[in-house]
Amino acid sequence: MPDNLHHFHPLQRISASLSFRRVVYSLLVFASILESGCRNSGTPKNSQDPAGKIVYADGIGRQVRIPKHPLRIISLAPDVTETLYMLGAQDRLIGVTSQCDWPEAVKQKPIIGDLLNPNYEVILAKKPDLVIASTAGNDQAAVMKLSGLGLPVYVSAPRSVERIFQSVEAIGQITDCAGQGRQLVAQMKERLNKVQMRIAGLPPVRAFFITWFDPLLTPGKNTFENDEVRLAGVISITADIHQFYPRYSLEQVLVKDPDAIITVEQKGDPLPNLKKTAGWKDLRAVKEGKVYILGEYLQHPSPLFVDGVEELAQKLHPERFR
Amino acid sequence: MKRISKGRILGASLVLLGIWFVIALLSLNIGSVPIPVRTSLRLLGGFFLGDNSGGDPLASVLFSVRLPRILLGSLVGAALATAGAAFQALLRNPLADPYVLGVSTGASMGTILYSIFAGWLGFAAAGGGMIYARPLAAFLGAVFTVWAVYVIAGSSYRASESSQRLLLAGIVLASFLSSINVFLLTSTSKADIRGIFYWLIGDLSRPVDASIYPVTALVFGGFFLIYLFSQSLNLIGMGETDAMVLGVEVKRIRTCVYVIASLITGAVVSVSGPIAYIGLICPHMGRMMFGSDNRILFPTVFLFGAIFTLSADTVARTVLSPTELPVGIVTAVCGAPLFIYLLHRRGGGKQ
Repeated sequence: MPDNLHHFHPLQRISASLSFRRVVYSLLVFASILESGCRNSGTPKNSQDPAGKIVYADGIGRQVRIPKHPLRIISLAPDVTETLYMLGAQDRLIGVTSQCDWPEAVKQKPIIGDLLNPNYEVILAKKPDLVIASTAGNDQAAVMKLSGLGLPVYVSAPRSVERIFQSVEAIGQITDCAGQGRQLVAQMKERLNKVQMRIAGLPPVRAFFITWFDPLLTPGKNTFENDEVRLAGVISITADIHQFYPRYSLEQVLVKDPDAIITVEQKGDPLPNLKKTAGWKDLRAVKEGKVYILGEYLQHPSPLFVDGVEELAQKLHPERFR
Repeated sequence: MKRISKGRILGASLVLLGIWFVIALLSLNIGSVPIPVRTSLRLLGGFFLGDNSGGDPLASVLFSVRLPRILLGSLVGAALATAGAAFQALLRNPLADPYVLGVSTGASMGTILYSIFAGWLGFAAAGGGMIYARPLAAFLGAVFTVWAVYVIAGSSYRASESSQRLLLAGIVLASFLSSINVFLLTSTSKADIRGIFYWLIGDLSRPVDASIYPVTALVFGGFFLIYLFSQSLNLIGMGETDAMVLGVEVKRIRTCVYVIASLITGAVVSVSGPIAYIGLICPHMGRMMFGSDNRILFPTVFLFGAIFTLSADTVARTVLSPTELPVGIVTAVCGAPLFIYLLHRRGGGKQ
C-alpha cells in the first residue's frame, strides 16, 4: 500500500499562524480606538473575526475569510461541484459551470459560465457568500478578478491523491460539513485499500496513459492522474516527465513498448483504428488487445476518482475481482 | 526578358534535390529516440531488400513514424511554398502567401466546422469510412474562401487594380474568418476541440492515413500546372497591359492559378494545419538565389519548401524530447528573423 494513504494532514485553520495573529492584533487596535466592545478576541484559538467569519488558508496558500455556515455557494469547477454533492451541501449550491455534469441533478442548477470563462456579472448578481475554484481547470486570472470584486474565493488544489483527500476535507470544513468531509475521505481510503488488497502481489503494469490522441497528450509526473493510476497497480511510462500534460513522442512509446494502453472515453473504441495505423500497430499492447477505455472518472480530482481507480484495477486484473 | 537555359533550371533543381535528400537521411537518424547510424543503415538495407526485421521497435520508429513524417513534412512544405510563390507572382506583391490571403484560415474553418458538426451528422460512428471527410471539409473551406475573396474583390477591367483588391479582400476575409474560428472554438465546450488548438498552429505528428494519396496527387498535379503557367506569369509580372498586348489571357490565367494554389493549400492544410511562414519565406529565398524568373523559381521554391519544413520538423520533434513541439512554432520562430534578414539584405544590396 502506498504511503500516501497514511500521512494525512487535516487542513489547519490559520488561527495559530503568525499572519492571523497580526490580523487579530490589528483588529484589537482598531477596536480599542473605536472604544467598542471586544468579543473575546484575546483567545488566539478563536479564529472568528468580528463579522463572524473564519479565515482559512486555501489550497494555494491564499487567505480567505468565509462565513461559518455559507448559504450561497458557487462552484467554478466540476471536481468542486462533485465534492459538494457528495458532502451533501448541494442545497446551498447556487451556481455551477457548464462543464459540471455529475450527478444528473446538477443539470437543474443555474450555470454561471464555463470553466475557463466564468461570467463575472452573473456571479456577482447571485451574491454568493462563498466561491470555490479549483486548480484543475480554473484560470488564476479569474480567481484574482473575483477576489478583486470582493468575493471570498477559495481555491482548492487537488494536484495529487494526497491533495485530493485534503481538498475534500477542506471543502467540507469551509462549507460547515467537516464531519461529512472526514467521513467521505475515510470511505475513499477504505475503498482504495480494498483495491490494494485485491491486487496485492501482482507485478506492476507498465502502461501508457493517453488523455488525447491527436495530438498525443499524456499526464506527466506532477498530475493527479499519474498518482491515481499507481493505486491501481500501474506504472505510467510517462511518469518521468516534468510538464503537466505534454505532447508525447510516438517514437518513445514504440521504444518503451508498454504492457497496456489506458485511455479515457473516446468516440468509439480506438483499438480497431490503432491496429490499422502505422507505428501503433507494432505496439505489443495493441497486438494483444490491451487497450483499456475508462470512464472519465480518473480525470475528476474529486471523490469520484476512486471509481476510476476501481474500474482500472478491474479491467487490468479481472481475475482478482470475481 | 533574359533567356534562361533549361540546363540551369535542371541544375539548380538537382542540387536542391540532393540537399533535400541529405537532410532527409540525416533527420532519419535524428529524433526523440537515438538510433545509431549503423543500426539505421542496417534497418534501411533490410527494408529495401524486403527483409522484415521481425518486431524491432527501432524499425517501427524508423519506418512507421519517422520516414512517413519526413515525407509528409516535405510534401506540405513544398505545397505551401509553391502556393506562396504563385500568389506572389500572381498578385505582384511580395507579401502574398496562403496565410495572408485567408486560404489557410478558410481551410482551418472547414476543419473546425467539421469537428463540431461531424458528431451530429453521425460521421464519427461511421469510423474508418470517413477518413476523407476531414480533408474534404478543409478543402471546401479553402474553396469557399477563394470564392468569397473573388466576390468581395469584385471584377475590375483594370487588372492592376483587381490584384490589389484581391489582396485586400484576402486580408480582410482572413481576419474575419479567424475571429469566426475563435468564436467557434470558444462557444463549443465539446472536448473534441482541444486537439484543434494544436492543429491550428501547424502540426505534423498526426498519423498518416489513406487521405494522403489524393493530397499528394493534388500537390504534384497542382505544381505541374502552375509550372506550365510560369512563362505567362513572367509576362504578367512585367506589366499586365503589356502581357495582354502579347496575347496573354491575364484574367483567365489569374483565376486558374489562384484556384490551383488555393486547392493545394487546402489539401495540405487539411493534413498538417496551417503552418506559418513557409509560403512567405521560401519564395523570397528562391528569388534571392535564382532571380525572379518563375520558370526557375517554382521548381526551386518547391524544393526550398520541402527542405525548410523538413528541417523545422526535425527540430520540432527533437529539441524537447521525449515531448514534442508543433512544427508551426519552429517555423514561426525561425521564420520571422529570417524574413527580417532577407528584407535587409534586399534593401542593402543592389537590386
